[in-house]
Amino acid sequence: MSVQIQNLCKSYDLKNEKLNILKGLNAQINPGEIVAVVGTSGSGKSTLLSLLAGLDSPDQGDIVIQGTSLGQLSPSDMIRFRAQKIGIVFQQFHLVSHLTAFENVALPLDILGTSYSKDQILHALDQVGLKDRTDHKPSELSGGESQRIAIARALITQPDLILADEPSGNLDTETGLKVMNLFFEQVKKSKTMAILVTHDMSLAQRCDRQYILKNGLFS
Amino acid sequence: MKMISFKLAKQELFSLKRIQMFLVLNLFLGIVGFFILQLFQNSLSSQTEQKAQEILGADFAVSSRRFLESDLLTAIEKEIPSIRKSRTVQFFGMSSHQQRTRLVQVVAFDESFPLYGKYEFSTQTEFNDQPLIWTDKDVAIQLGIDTQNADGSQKIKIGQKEFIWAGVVTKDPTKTFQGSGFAPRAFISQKYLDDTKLIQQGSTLSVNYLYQLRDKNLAADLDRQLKQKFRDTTIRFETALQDAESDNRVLKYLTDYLGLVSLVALGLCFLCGGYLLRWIFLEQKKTIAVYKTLGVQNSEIIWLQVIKNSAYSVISFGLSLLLVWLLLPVLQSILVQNQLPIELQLTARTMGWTLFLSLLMPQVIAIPVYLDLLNLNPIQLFQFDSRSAISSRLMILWLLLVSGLFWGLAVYQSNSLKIGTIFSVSIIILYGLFKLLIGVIRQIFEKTVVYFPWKARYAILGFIRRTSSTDLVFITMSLSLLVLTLLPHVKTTIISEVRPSQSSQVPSLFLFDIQPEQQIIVTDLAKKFNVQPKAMTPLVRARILKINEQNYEIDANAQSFVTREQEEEARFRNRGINLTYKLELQESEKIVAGKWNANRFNESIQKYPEISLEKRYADRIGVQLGDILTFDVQGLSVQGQVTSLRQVRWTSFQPNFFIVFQPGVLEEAPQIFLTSLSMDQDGDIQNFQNELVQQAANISIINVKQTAESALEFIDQMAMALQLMAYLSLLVGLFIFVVLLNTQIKERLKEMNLLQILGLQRPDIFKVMVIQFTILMTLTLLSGFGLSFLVAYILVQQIFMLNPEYDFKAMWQLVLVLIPIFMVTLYWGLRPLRKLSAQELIRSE
Repeated sequence: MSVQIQNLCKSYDLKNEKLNILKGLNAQINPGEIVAVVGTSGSGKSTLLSLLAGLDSPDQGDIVIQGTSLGQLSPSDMIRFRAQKIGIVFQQFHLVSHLTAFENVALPLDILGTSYSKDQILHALDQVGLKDRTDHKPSELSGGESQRIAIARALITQPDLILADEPSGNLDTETGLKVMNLFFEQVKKSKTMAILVTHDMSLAQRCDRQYILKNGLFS
Repeated sequence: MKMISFKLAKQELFSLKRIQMFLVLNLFLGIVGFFILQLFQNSLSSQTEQKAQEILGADFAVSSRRFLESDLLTAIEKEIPSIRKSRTVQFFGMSSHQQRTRLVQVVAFDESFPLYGKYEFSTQTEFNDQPLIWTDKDVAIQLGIDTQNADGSQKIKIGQKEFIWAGVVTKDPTKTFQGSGFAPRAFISQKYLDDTKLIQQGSTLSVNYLYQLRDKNLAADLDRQLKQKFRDTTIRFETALQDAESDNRVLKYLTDYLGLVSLVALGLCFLCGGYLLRWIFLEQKKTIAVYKTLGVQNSEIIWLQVIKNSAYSVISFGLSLLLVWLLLPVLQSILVQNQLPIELQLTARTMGWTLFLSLLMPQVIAIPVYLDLLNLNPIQLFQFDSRSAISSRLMILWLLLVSGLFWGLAVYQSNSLKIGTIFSVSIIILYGLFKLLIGVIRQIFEKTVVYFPWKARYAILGFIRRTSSTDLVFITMSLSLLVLTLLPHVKTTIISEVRPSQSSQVPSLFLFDIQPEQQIIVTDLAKKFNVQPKAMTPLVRARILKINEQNYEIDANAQSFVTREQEEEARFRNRGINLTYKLELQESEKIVAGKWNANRFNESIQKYPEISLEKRYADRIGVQLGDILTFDVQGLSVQGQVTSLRQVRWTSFQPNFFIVFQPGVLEEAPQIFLTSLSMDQDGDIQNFQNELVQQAANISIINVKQTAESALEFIDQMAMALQLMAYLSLLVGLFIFVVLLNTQIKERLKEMNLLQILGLQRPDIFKVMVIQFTILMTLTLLSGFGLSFLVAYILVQQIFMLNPEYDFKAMWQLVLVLIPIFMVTLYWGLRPLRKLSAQELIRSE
């Protein structure tokens, strides 16, 4: 079981002009593998992430995650599938400002309607070193702490695939390094697949494989 | 002022966004009520000034409740540089036509009256050499007069004299809006005054000596001079302006109270304006940071904000001016319909005041933002942090400034230091109460939220943890709903109190001006109708000379009164007082301090006769138990010691008095009697009244039911005006709700996109938001309505001393109106959720 990207094409219409962003991407991510997608600004990284997360549909081609073709899913099934199978870590953390760290981590389980114990959430917070910050709101947390909460939130549903979009992009070098260490450690521990989108080559080098997105194709 | 500030302000103003539009609309809503009230108040005061001579019918008047002795009158007139003079005598009397009777206020005039202005009548009469009577339309209708026919065949009897009905008074230059009176008017010539035989010892009458001065500008000086020279407080000197102002007093009070209600709307806009300005500031932080890093100085940044805020003010003022100008014909026609003789004029003063307030308000509420701008450095500005950098000391100073400004406006609008202060303190207390309440609600929800299903839990958390926005809507909506529902409660209480019914114990008829020898006529007639009149209550005219050897009279040199209290105090002290004596208390009275003496005065064992004062009257004149009061009773000095204080229910329509003497002192003084009686049937009431007029024409009878109905009509009109103004507050409250919805949805779009990414379907997101705002609105309704019961109870019970009656119907009606408005607002506010795009979250990275 794996993630397969098959002949993925995506274009946008821009002022009567067709802009081809992705021109037939092919790739495969194997179980437990962390791959990096590296590209410059405007290379189509965000488009690829949107397609992988099922937030947008390709013009051509398909994405198959653990045997499920995203193209075959109805919009509501897609939302459900994403909630169960995909965890996302954003550059800007995107924590819900009025929820505590505990509540933010528990949020995906709440949405799925999965029952959970307090210990389960505390354990997840402990894994990212924030067991003592359970009742803090995002405004009371540092950038690094916020991102660690976001990582715990992405992993709490035990997804098959983690999508990470420049997780350290909003952090200083030292904090960024600590957060990425934690990210790699947790993803490896969970044995899930992960796609890390970055333009930082040194970060990409820490992944199992690297895909370089250039002119709409992997090179 | 730096040019760069202007240039940047211009650039920003030309790219007005929705939030700035909200700010402009907010200011507009805040000032429009104030504007309309200014228009009304200024028009009233300028016309009072312009028409003062016509209202008084003279430049100067001397009035008294008796005919002045000729030597006294000569002495007074010696001081008055008049070129013409006139005299009117006014008193209450019963009019009758065929089998119908009606209490009227008789105005007996001489041939010179009025010295200014002209009366107009519905018909021209050809019987000028005969006794004629002109009446208000109400009198003619109630007596069954055919108003189309003034051929001399219809007669009205006043006292012992029969008059030919000559028409309805269609234009009375002296008639201004005075609210509800006991009786409509009837005009007769003074030639026939004696023939009516109504003027007897102790009769309640008012004699007005009117003068046209050589120079009307002398009136104010003359007034001062006469007040100093003739210190008899039973004589009243009045200039045309003073009289006109006094006549318009009720209307002025109404506009004052309307002004206060409009201040609620203005205050709510203060709150919303502060919220919006902070929002705008946070949104523009980065732009400001860029300006700062490019070298724009702090002072220039502040100027930029001042210019922008002033521009918002000017736009808001322009909008309100346009609306008022468009509404002017409608407002004018409403005044005409309600027989309010005021011509609305949009003057420079009205516009100037409103513009001043429009400019001042945003600058004052923007002070924290200005301070934030000064305190922050560019690095901090790049962070989205909504917390203010201002010290708590400065915030307290600012809050004091805002409260002080609000208090100043309240005093200005109410023309009363006392009412303005009570009002602003009440609003601040209510603000604190609502703040406390929402804090408690938040705590309760915080403790119980885990027991709710997830969607409700998420909605509740969104509601309780977004403190500033939730508090803003909760407080503003609750406050506006409170104001709106408080008025019907107060109105219902007053109505149930004054409308005679079997349960209210209000009598059907109130009889006064009963001469001592006529008491038997009244009791005999009452027996014939099988009713028992209340005990005859004597009335003795007097005035207070001293309180514990201190002169009671007010300084006659007091020339101008700044506040209503000063004006009222002077009026209050300068009028005489009615005394009575009795052994027993009435149902409408209760002793609250001291002891009621149920014995006659015994000179051998008592130094002073005992007197009882109404509690609030005693407080007002500064009298306590044990004090000695000296009265002038028709030229004789009488002393009494205060031994008890009473609480009196004035709306009982019983013969109630401020001062009650122990029997055995005033019996020999000239006096008249009052009484009241209750009858169930309208027909009996009318028949009793008719028979009594035939037997004792001088006795005045107030048909309490008729009077109460006319008072209720007046209360209705007043309440409607206040209610309309209160709706403005509600409109502001709803507007703030829309603003909050809009800003919060905008602020939370990313969060909603995240929820979608995390697996929440769009209808569920919609549901969560609907639950959140429905909880907020429900709590708002409950708190606003709930506290209105409490405030109504305090107001009615403690201040009006009435039993509270609540208007549940008005509340249900309001709920039925509010629910659809709320639903439409919510539907409209949540529209952006339909365009949610989770992709935006990734694209925005």
